[in-house]
Amino acid sequence: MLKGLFKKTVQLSAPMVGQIIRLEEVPDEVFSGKMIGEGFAVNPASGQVVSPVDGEIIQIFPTKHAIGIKTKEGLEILIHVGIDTVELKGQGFEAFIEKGSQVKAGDLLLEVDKAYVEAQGKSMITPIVFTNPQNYKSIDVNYGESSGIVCEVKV
Amino acid sequence: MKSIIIKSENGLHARPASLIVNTCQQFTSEIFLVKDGNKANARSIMNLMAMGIVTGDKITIEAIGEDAEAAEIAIFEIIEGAN
Repeated sequence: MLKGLFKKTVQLSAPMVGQIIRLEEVPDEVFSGKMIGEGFAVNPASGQVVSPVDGEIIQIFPTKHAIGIKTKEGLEILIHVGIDTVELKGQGFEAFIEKGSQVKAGDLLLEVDKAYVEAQGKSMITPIVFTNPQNYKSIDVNYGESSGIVCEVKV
Repeated sequence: MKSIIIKSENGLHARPASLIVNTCQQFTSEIFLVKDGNKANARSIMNLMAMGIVTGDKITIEAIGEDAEAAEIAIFEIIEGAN
């Protein structure tokens, strides 16, 4: 029991099925240059987005293309579905949670029409970024095909 | 306090928001962006982006502290530069 209390690692499962890639490979300098924070990205095979952790939805953007989750350890996770998808103004995005929702890892957050997004000329590559750098020490990512735990964050 | 109307087609999204957060680190003041009475801590990218600031919105920059005036000017210039 005590071990659980002193746990200093947050484990993330993949929010989308696909290839886990480096943040540096994201075709947007805001993410690849880590201007927002450390993290990783998914090049997804489908448009279903699930929660990578247990936590609280602290933000859902009006355009539904991005979601913020906070874990009980205080880690803030931004899931930004696609690149420049703010320009789609919510078209092709359906949300299944709202601000304040408590979620478990694996809970459905968003259903995204991948074909529509790509038809609009947008990349579906989805950065997952830890936005409060003062609250974590290091991250360890399992790159490649998504399965099981894809990222561990020391907090 | 400084106000500005957002003209950028995509509002205040990831790019300018990350610039604002990084610029805030140069100052000790508390810095906020206010839209329709909603206040976001300008040091939090999550809060800024989630305000959903779009074209045509009027934003007020509010800083409180010793370097408040300089902070307000710096943030104003970023938003103006992105407009």
